[in-house]
Amino acid sequence: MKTGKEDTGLSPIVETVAYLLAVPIATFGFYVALHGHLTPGGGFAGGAIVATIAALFLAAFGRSIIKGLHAKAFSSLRTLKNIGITAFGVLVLISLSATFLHRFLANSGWFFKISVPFGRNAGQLGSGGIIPLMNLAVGLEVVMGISLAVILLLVIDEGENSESIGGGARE
Amino acid sequence: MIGVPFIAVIVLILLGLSALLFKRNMIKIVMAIHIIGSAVNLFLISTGYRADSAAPIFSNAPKLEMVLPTPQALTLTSIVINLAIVALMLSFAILFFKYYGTLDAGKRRLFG
Amino acid sequence: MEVKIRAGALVVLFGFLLLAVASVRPFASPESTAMDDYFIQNAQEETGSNNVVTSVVFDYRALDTLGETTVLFSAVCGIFTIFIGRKK
Repeated sequence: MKTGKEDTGLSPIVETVAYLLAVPIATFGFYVALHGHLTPGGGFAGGAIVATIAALFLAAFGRSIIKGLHAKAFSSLRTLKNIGITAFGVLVLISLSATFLHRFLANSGWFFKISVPFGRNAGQLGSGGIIPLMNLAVGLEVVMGISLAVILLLVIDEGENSESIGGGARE
Repeated sequence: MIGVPFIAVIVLILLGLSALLFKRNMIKIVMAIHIIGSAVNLFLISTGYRADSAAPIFSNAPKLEMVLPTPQALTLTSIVINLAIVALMLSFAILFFKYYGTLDAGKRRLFG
Repeated sequence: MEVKIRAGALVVLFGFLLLAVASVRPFASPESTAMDDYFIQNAQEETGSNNVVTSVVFDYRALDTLGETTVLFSAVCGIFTIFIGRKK
């Protein structure tokens, strides 16, 4: 945990590959979350896939990627947490409405105009009603939650903050 | 007739419980609890299995006999709760290490 | 001595698990499937989702999912409080 030397990550090859891999990972996670009503997966799986970008960057760049913005680190983390709170509230409203409304939003609007054919079919993206929106909300919440947990578990154990926690313990 | 997944559930639960009983490192205890949780997930999935059935998804389904969907939904819930529990226990382990400088659960008592 | 007690407890629990699994109903033939058959028959016209598991998670048991996300959210809040909530 305390290595003693500055943790600046791995070689530039790994950093470049991490940069290149971040976009396909995010795209694939978004695809899994959006197609949750057609294919295996859903908001939780897609959110977990996108949240691996945080672990990938922490493994590739080391803790210095957070220390570089150390003054604004806490505020950015709190911003992430607020986004998670907002997605959570949206999920509350949407899930309540979807529980009490019967096929809410299905074949109604511009995106949801397709009704699902019964039985075995090929699957259309716009046929899910409100379920893709709920998948995206859950995916956003899971992305923020797991990323914040990974960042907090792996990064915030050095520096002034751990001194404040440790100093409070020894008194 | 005892199915093979139930045997796997027994093996996984015994692995986790033996690690819980004989290991004192907190990280290993957390790993043992997660192994037990995975065994419970496997048990839930295997209770909902019907012979010669497909996954309960209608997109290009190979056949219309499907396995039970409710245990799979509850397993999804269980996976996320396992993840939350493991993350919280790991943070408690880090906090324990910061306070006492060790991860041995037998060295210190939490209260006293 | 204590190791022997723990090993004995493990053996007893192994016997208990074996008994429990031997007395459970047989694999790959569940007994009562009325609710799940209803979900499979009616999930498409009631929720508009091809994936029956998704329709169970997000429509029939949406409040369950709400509690699940509450658990995840409060766990992250707990980690947040543990690590950086104590700044003075």
